[in-house]
This record gives sequence, structure tokens and C-alpha cells, in this order.
Amino acid sequence: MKRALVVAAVVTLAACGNTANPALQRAAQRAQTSTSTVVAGPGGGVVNGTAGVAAPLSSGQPVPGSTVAAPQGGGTTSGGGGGSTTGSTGPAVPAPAGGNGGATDVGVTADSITVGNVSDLSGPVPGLFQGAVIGTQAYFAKINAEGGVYGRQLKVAVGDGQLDCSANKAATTDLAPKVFAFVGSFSLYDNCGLPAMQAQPNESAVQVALSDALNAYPRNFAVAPLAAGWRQGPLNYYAAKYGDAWKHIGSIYANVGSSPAIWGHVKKAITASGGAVVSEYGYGPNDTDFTAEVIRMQRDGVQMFFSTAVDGAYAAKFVNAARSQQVTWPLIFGGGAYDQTFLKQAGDNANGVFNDMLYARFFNADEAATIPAVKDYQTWTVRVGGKNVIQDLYSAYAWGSAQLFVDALKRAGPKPTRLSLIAALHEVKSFDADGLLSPSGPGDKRPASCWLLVQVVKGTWQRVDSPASTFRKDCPYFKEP
Amino acid sequence: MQTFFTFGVLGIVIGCIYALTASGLVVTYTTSGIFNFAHGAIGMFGAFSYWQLSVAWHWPRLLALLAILLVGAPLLGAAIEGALIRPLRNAAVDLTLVTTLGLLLFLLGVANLLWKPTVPRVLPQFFASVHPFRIGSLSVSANQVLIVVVALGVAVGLKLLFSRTRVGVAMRGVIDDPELAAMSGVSPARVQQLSWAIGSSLAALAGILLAPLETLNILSLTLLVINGYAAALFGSLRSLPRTAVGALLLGLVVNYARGYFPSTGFLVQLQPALPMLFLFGVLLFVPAARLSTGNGVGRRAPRVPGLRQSLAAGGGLLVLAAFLAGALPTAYVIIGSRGFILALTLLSLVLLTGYSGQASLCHLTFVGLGAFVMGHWAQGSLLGVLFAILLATGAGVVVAAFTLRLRGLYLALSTFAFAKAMDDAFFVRQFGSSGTLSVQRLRLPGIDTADERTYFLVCAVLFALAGVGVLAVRRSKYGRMLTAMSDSPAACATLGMDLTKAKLLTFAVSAGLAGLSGALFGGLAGNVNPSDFAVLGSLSLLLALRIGGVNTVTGALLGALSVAAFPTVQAHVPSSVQLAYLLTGVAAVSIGRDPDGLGGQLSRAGARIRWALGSPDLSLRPTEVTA
Repeated sequence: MKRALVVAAVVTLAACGNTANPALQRAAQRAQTSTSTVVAGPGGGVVNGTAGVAAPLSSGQPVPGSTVAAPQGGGTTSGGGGGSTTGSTGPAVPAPAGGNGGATDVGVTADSITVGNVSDLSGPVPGLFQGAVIGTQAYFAKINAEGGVYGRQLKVAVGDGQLDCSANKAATTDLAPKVFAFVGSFSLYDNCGLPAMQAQPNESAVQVALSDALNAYPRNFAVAPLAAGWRQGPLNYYAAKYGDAWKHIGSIYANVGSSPAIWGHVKKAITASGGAVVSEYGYGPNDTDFTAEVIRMQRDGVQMFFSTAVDGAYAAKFVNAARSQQVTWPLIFGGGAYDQTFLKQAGDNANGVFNDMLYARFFNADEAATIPAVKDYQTWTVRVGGKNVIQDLYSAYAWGSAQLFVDALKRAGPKPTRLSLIAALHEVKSFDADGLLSPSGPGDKRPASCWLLVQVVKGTWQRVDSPASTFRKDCPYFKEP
Repeated sequence: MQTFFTFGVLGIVIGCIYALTASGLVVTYTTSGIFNFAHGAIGMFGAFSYWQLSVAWHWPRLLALLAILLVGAPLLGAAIEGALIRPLRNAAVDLTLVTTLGLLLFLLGVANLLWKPTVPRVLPQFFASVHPFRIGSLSVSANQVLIVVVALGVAVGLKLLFSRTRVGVAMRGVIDDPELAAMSGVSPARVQQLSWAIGSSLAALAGILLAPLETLNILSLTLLVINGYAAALFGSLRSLPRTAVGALLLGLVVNYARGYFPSTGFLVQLQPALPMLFLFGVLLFVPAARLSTGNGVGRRAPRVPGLRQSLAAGGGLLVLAAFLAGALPTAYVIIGSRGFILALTLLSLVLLTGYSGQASLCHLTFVGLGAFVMGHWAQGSLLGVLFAILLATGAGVVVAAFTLRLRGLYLALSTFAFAKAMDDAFFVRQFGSSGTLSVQRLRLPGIDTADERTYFLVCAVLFALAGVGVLAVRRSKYGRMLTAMSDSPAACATLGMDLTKAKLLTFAVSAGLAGLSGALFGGLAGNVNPSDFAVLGSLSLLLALRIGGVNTVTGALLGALSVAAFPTVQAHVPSSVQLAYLLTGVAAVSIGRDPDGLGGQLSRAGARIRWALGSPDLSLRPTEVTA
């Protein structure tokens, strides 16, 4: 059930709106135009990186471009690497001629920068947020293989939140005085470690916040900031596509934690789009089968199903129950169903199911062919996590967080301090991890709202009514009054 | 009418699932008198083993099924009986409960090691190619029909086994009077082992049949059996026909509620708690004659230190705490604070379970109520702490009042039902829209409690005071009455003792102490979450107390510190995320063999040393334990 709670929170944070700054969008696009470089990977392999000019973003300060560097390999927790790959972003940045200033702040030395990552790795759901560590390490491994940042290798000191408030607090308290910043962490109890971060001067948390407290923290920079409300684009789309059926919606939501409140936001957004929920059910941890809910929805005249705060496993349960009762309504999920568990557990029943989401199809092989950032993500997570690595939302967001950190670190210059990092992060008004994620504003906490629609076709998720390699442009956001 | 019929059919299907899970519980309880909390974990293990054979290793499904049901599961059940259950004969109820909880955690740990939980797995439905059956407007899959058929078959088969076969009669005889059964040529140990083998097979069967409908998930399959508790209790843990009736009733109640309760409002909050309310109701209204249960014998009488000795120990603890507050890194100080707060909670259980012999599985609920008060109304004030204690005390009185006639296992399960219902209907909905409740730390005049080291000392002082107080209670006339009540309630009643008043008072004081620890716990991290007070946590508390020593203040401290320090141990072994589960399981095995726990062992060692050094104190003879 904790897992459902987590997913509910993640889905919420992925449900935000953002009017992207066109200038920054262009800058981000410029960052993807690149020249090639070759660097030795930490594992001794050759990495065919793609260097270029980092996004000047709003500061107008370009970051020096490509180089050839020999990474130092890092400590035991630094990203691994080796082999050969073609990257798309993240130019290597050499140390300047006058040196990089050495130990400019906590966690910084002349040849390394150590960041912290406190994620829930053990506890009741072992490995729940392992992806958060893998995603962070994977992006750092890529950067290290390309030569690091101003001659420094990037290392991750990992703390285990253990899905426990006190454990999170202890782990964060332990790491906070030792690391430059926190990057890519994922913990259900991220608010518990917040006081420890606050106690450290100018320490930032470049991570997706699962709690309101961390989200509101001024030094939290998330690639998917939380906001009360819901993305209006898909709701308008469904209203136009399904007409009267949109006024007869059935739904389920996790009756735990923040999920009922999230569902409350969504219902208001549905109403604003002209829709209406006629049957709903808040499920609990002991609910193993949704057949009763399907029958109830049939009785209540439901004509389509739309649910936002469920994870892949519960989505599969509902879809299986609906299919067993020969339901023919459209079955639509708002984010959580794009999950390998869903496809596996729903099997053939998954065909035809829709999902609107704020990230690219990060585990689809065909997406890697069209979006270089997805290819990089897939390649490097496999290198770090092994061929059986689970490419999940947490590793995708952690990868994005690590990229956001590196982008800001480059812009902070060769002698970075915690303060200059924060200043650089504040200037990031639009960030999309080169197309892996929907654009959001980490610097001003503007949520993402540009979305794409996918549907299961013959057992795989395919884009529907969406551009081939970007997000849809109908991005209004319903914000509660 | 059509809808009513449809929900009725669905309720019967769900009821059969409950019946299937409950029948194995009844079989094992019937012969061993032990309520097996690990029944669901055994079922989970069976389902995953079946997946391993049939899906991962491509064995023919029938062969895999037979291998699990006729070989693997019975062997596991027999091994569990031999290693864990047999030493528990005549043990206290809380000890039997925490031992099977330890087994549950151990099996979870092993399963997580063998089958990485983040990897999705699917167990195909049985007869998936068969077109669903139509009953009215309801489609019923062949797998669901199979469950109904198997549940009926199991019920009839077990009925025949117990009534028509020699071994079945022997199994019934063993629980009634093992000595008499032995005189008639029956080996109670063998019969008990056989019943655990059968129970294990039934658990595996339920897991294998349910996994295709549920997800093949370690945690959810393990906890799936919880709703079956109500059905098993409906049959008084002995009658299979009544268990089946209870299961069907529960299935119908749950499904009609899902069909007819409104989508919003109080009833929708109540809905998840229905199975536990059903269980609570069963325990309240089942005739007393069916609720006979042993309370364990052989508890050692602890040697109670005098006031001077306990004050010296408390003072020594505070000196040590002051030293540690200055010497330890902040992260460890936080762990220490958590340890003292947990120790306060365990101390409340020493009073209730250790001294008076009443097992409570709802003490984290009282802790949660304390934290709830501090978060909602107290704003860190001392008055708020008092209110937290009062609310928890009131809840304790209510629970005690409803369960006055219950004792032993039935008391434990009724508190379990109360805690689970509070989990489902209260905590998950009352902790604010974010699911997390901010709790301000206790403020004291002239003391900077925001400082972690100061807060650590405050927690240490409160624990020391409470410890001295609990020992004073133990030395008093009231304390002696509690231990007498633990040994023999009937004898106490015969002597004219007011057991009702004693039980109410003990529950009230114990719950109040738990409420105090809740107020401190909330302020430790600054916020709390409903899962902090989940019912299985209460079981883990009892386990921690048993590890430390159930009837000693030292035991409460040792148990709490070991639990609080565990995250640090785990953090130093990041590669073994199952360490907590595995070690807990090992600890459960050890306390089954030495119920006095660490505190008892330390105390005995100290007494032996002093006795060997020539102390004239006869109470130091190496058979007693210091409280």
C-alpha cells in the first residue's frame, strides 16, 4: 500500500502546468545541437559522447564546450561506465587553465564533487526507489565518462531512508554536512530529512519532492514540481473526443494518504472540462479484486473509466476485472499505467488502454530511436544497473534531476559553491531533460502540463494523437481557486 | 434485484476465498493451540514456489502443483512445527503470537531474497482458455469457480478427516488433552506435526489459487489472509463448518457494502474496516464457553529492585545519556531519542503484558492517538501532552471495557481488530490531505528542545522517570495483584479481587504511557504518517519487547534500542536489504527457546556473578530475573 501512496504522490507531482518560456525552450534546444567527442569511460571503454554548448538559459553565460578527459573512476558510489555509446547531451567541461579552485565548498575537492541521495531502498518494500539511485548514478556515469565537470568527477553518497521517517532523518542528518547537495533522492518521508537540510547553509535538494513540505522548500528544485490542480489538456481532449460519455465517468483511487485530496483536485478539473464522475471507489490495501466496483459502475450508468492516482499493479487489477465483465468503455489512466508491471499483469487485457503522461516512453525501444535522451537514459541505466534493471519513473526522474544538477553546476562555473549552485538553479525556468520529461520550471516551481497520450497496442505502449518525439502543445493547467 | 443477486454471487465467491484461507488457520490451531500469523506468508511462499517451478523453470503445471502441495509445503510446515512451534507448548499467548510474527517476517525476508520484489511476475489463471461463466449479469472466471469448488472440497474433506478418520480424531484429541491422547497410543508431537504439514499445504493451495487473481506480490499475498481471521474466529478457531459460514457471511457483508454504500461520507471510510469490525463483533458476541484459551504457564517471577536500586539505575542511565549526548554524532543522537521513545512504548507493554499477562496488539494505535493530538491541537504545549495522554487513556479504557470478558488469544485478536479498524478508518483519513501530519516538538520552559541533543536528554529523563514509576507500581499491592491476575484470574476472583477494575486501570495506565510516547514520537521527526502506526507494527513492538525481556524495564530499554539502532546496522549493510526481516526471524526463534529475552539473560548473568562473589542475597540464586 505504501507503493500505491508513492505512486499517488508521483502522479500528482507529474500533474502540473507550465507555460514554457519560449527563449528558454530555444536555449534548451540549442543545447542539443552538438559536436562529437571521444572520451575514455571510467571502466576503460570508449564513450562516443556528443558534446556541445550547454544551454545558456536565462543568464546568457555559455558554458565551455567539448573536451577530451580521462575520468578518475570515482569512489565506490560514483557512477560506473565503460563500453561504448553515443550520447546526446552533457558536454564535458575541462578544468580551466588557472585551476578549478579545489575545495570550494562542502563535498567539493579539486577532482570530485560528492552529492547525497537518500532514497527508500530497504524496508517493507525492498528496492522501492532503487531506481532513484540508479538514475542518478547513470547520469553521473555518463558525465564522468565524458570528462566530468571542470575536471571533477561526480560521486553519489547513498543513504537508505528505509521507508521510515526516523531512518530518513538520520540518513539525511548524516550526509547533510558532508555533501555538496542532494540529488535525485526519492523517499516517501523526504519531509523528515528536511530539517537536517535546512540546518546546513545553502544546501539544495535537486530532487522530486513527494511531500508538500519539501515541495514548498525554497531550496528544492524539482524536475516535476507539485501544484494543486491538474493538467487540463487531456481532460479537454477526452471531453471533445468522447462527448456525452465524459459526463458518465467511473473511477477508483487509493483511499490512503494524499490520494483522496489529489482525486479531489482532479474531479474539479473534470468538472471544469464539462465532465462528471458518476461512480467512484476509494480502494484500500485489502482490496484484491475490483469486480464489485465494475458491476457497481455498470449499474450507475458509467460510460468511460478515468483514474489518475493508481499504480501499475492496481491499474492492471482494475483492467482485468473490467475485461472479465466484458466492459467496452474507454479505459484511461492519468500517468500511473505506463509501467512494466501493468503490461505484464494485465497481459492481453491491456490492449486498448489509454494513458496520458508527462514523460516520454522511457522504457520503449522505439522511443529511444527518436529521442536521443531516452536512448542515453536506457543505455546508461543498463550499464549502471545491469541488463535486468527496471527502468521506472523514479529512475527517469532521478536521471532528470541529475541532469538538472549538472546543468546548473556548469553554469555555476569552475569554482562552485552551494550558493552559486542555488543561484544557477533558480535561473532554470524551463527544463525537459532533452525531451525525456515534459517541460517544467524547477527554478520557479512551475509544474509541467504538456502531455502525451499513449495506448497499448499489441502489448506495447504506442503514441496516439501526439507528436513523434515531443509533447503535445495543448498545455493549459487547472489551478484550484 | 438483479444487482442484489449479482453482488450476492460475488460475495459468495469472495467468501469462499476467505474460507479457504481460514481453514488452514483452524487446522493448525486445532492441534497446536497456536494462532499462526505466518499463515499468509506460507501461502505466499507456496505461490512463489509454484511460479518458480511452473513459469520460471517450465515444469508442467500439474507436476509443479503436486510438488508444492504434497512435498514442499508439508515439509515446510513440519519443519516449522519442529523448530518453532513445539517449544512453545504452554507458552504465553503473546510469545506464541510474536514467534509466528517472526516467522512471517523471516519468510518475507527469504522471499524478497529469492524473488526480487520490484520485478513484475504473473501467474497465469487456471483454465484461462475456458470462457467465463455467466450468472445473471456477472461473468465468473473458471479460476473463480475453481476456488469455490476447492473451498467446498476442502471444507468437506477436513470435516471427514476430523470426524471419520483415526488420525483426525487423534488430532482433535491432542488439543483437548495431549496426555490422555498419548496414553491412547497417539504421539502428540507427530499429530501436531502432521496438522502443521496439512495447514501449510492448505496455505500454499490458497496462495496458488489466489495469486492469479491477486498480483504475485510478496507483501499483498502475505497480508491477504487477514480478512480470513474473522471467519476463523467465527468458528472459534475449531469448527470448520462454522468457519465456512462465517466466511460466506463476511463475503456477503463486504460485497453488499461495496455495492450499496454511498461513494462519499462516513460509510465509505468505514468500508475498509468492515472485516475487522466483523471480527471485533464476533469476539464480543460469541458465547463465552467457546472462548476458553490457555494463558501460558511457567512464567518466571522477576525479582523486583527496591526504590533505591531503581533510582540508582535511573540516575546511571541519565549520566550515560548525558555522556552520549555530547559524544555521539547528531544522526546517532536522533536514533537514541527514537530508542528512548520506543522504550517508553515498550514500558507500557511491560505493565500490561509483562506484569498482568494481557496481550495487546493495539498499542501503536494509542501511540498514534498521542501523536494525532500533538499534531492537531497541541502546538508543542505541555497541556497538549497531557491531552494526548488523556485521549490515549480514554481509548485504552474503551478497549478494555469492550474486551472485559476476553483473555489470551481472543483478547489479543480483539485488540488486533481494533487497531486494524483504526488503521483503515481513522489514521489514513485523519492525517490531513497530504497523508502526513506535522507535529510540533514538545516545548519546555527554559529548555531548547529543538536541539537534538537536548531532546535526546528529555526523552531519556522521561523514560527513566517512567521506568522508576513502573517499578514502583510493580512493588505496590496493585502490582502484586497484577502478577496474580496474570498467573490465575480464576484464583484472584475467588479471593475477591476486583479484576474488572484492575484490567480497566491497567489498560488505562498502559495506554496513557503509550500516548505520552506518541506525543514525543511525533515531535522527533516533526511529522507522522499513518503507516507509522500500522497494526503489524504493534506486533513488532511485542516482538521487540520479547527480544528485550517482556517483564523487565531493562528488557523494554534493550528491545527498544535494538529496534531503534537497526536502521543504522542496515545502512551499513546496504547490499542486504532483507537483513531486518532475517534477523527478526532469527530473534523470534531464539525467544521461543528463551522467553526471558536479552534482559533476562543479562539479569541472570549479573545475579550469577554476584552469587558467585558470595552475596548473601538468596534472591540472586541463578533462577530469577531482575525487573
